[in-house]
Amino acid sequence: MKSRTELNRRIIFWVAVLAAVSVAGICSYLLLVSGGVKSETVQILQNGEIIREIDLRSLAEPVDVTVEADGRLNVVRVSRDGVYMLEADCPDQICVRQGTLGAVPIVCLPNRVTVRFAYAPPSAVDAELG
Amino acid sequence: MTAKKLARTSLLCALALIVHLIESRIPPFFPFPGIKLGLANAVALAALLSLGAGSAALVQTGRIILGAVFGGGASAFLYSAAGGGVSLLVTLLIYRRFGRRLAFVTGAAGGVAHNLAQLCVAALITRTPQIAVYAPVLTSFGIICGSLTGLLASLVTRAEY
Repeated sequence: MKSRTELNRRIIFWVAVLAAVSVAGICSYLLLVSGGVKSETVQILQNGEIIREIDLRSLAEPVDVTVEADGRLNVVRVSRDGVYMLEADCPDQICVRQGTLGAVPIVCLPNRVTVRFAYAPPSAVDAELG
Repeated sequence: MTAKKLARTSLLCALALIVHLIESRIPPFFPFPGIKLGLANAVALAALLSLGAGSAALVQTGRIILGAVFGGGASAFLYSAAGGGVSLLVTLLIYRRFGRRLAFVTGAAGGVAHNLAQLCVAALITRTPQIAVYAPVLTSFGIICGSLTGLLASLVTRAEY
């Protein structure tokens, strides 16, 4: 039977380890997200295949891209000022609330739609992903 | 398995199912996919702490299969089966090492395993490996939510010891 202080020490140790790992996780995520965007090309993917590629520099007016998945719709607003999910026919609305596209792709899991900047090898995100 | 144990396992399974269904109706708080407290997992953990590994496995698999029957489609089942299955394996392994007083460590490990397994499934389904950038933040939330559910499970089962 372990003594009470020994047990408390183990509890404190593990609380510290878990707290450190969670803080590290959140910090590294924030670092990744703030890594900046090195690409001007936006890709819209469905089921992992690129269905639309838009060069932001060639855009004069904002464009709304509609993607249909099994009768459900996603509307992506693409403009030079930012790219975001305008509307989504999914229950959770996570992709809409995610806001403007940055280094992290906007993913609508229910409709399997992804919006991302084109692959740009020097960026922090891609380096991380190898 | 005695009749009494089977009855208690079934009760916990029903409880886990109800919690699972209610929780899946709560809109997410964070703009990341898949972050929730995982209270249904707390029920499986409570089963592990008070009834043992076999009961926990039954509660977890029963909850996932019935959860898919009562709500959520095929892709929801895929996510919860991957998350719940991997998390169950990790939970059982870690629990052998840490025991009930450190149940929050077990919960945290299960939470991390659950989130990372779901992230892998999401990457496969959407064929977007880039969503691996969510891995660190999902690990953090897996630890936070998992330790809370682990703590909860050890508190609600404490009266039995």
